Amino acid sequence: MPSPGEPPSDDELVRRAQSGDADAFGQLVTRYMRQAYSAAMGLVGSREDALDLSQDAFARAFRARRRLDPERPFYAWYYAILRRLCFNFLRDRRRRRVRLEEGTAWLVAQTAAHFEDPARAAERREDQRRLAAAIETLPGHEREVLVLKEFEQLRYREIAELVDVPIGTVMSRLYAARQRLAAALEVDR
Amino acid sequence: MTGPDDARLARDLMMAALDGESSDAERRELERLLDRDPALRDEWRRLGRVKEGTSTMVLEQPPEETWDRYWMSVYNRTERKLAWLLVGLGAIILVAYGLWHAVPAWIEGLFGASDLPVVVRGAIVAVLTGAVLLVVSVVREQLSTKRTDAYDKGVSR
Repeated sequence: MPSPGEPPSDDELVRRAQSGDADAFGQLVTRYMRQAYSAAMGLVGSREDALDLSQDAFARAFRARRRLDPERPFYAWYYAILRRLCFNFLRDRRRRRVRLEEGTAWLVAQTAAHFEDPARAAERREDQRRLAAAIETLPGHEREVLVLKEFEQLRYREIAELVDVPIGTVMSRLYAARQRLAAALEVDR
Repeated sequence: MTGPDDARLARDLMMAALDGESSDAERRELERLLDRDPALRDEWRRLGRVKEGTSTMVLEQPPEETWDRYWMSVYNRTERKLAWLLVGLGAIILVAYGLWHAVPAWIEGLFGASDLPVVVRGAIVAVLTGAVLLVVSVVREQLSTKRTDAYDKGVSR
């Protein structure tokens, strides 16, 4: 049992949700909604679709909550649902031949340091534009680990757990992704 | 680099160093490899530039008020799913009941001594055939997707 004032643990919330407490599931949703949105956003590259998919995944998890083992990490279980929805969405989008505009604003640059040299700042902006466009064209598995590493700041072990692959596979996918991005940066330069 | 094992080692050392997940010994090992291989040094520089670029980018975030409505939106979906299920089930029963009573009349109209014009008979046949084809096609696609979908796994642990 958590001490008074301490937020309830995931497994406690899962148990409560399984016994009919919808608010407990709501607390889990609130706890992970930003992380879920970021994961979906990194995969599908559209704010509205990322919100829609992450909410749909939570709704499915809610309906399937009785099958959840409270001893296992909630987010890893949820993420399996989310990634399946995202990859299905990407596959359907490819079938419909819908592509995001090149370099769309799903990735935005952080504010640059005020003291940055203007030429260097312009080069950096160009790099960011190319990187955003190149990330959109990465194969799904590579894009997934890159997003989890770069934009969710997860460690290799955590990524391996979520994606359900060995750490070596995480590293090789990251390497392949970065090689492609490096090639995109060097085109016409 | 002398072989695939060295290449793999260098790759892993570079990734771990870029992502801040390497130990002192691994960093020293990487330096040693970089010192003796200019091509690897060049690759390291290129990968470093990628890392520098991606580390200055963030994912676009929705407006803050989106998060206030987020859980309610999820909850509404679960409720609506149930509502759609009930509506769908009811509709199927009603349509089936309607067809059960209407189909004999249609058949009589099509093949009996009816005054239905040939065009209308043809249209009824076309609609019924099309509906059957659509149902078969959708069911086949769903089954095929489920069988071949590499990501349709892992929902249950």
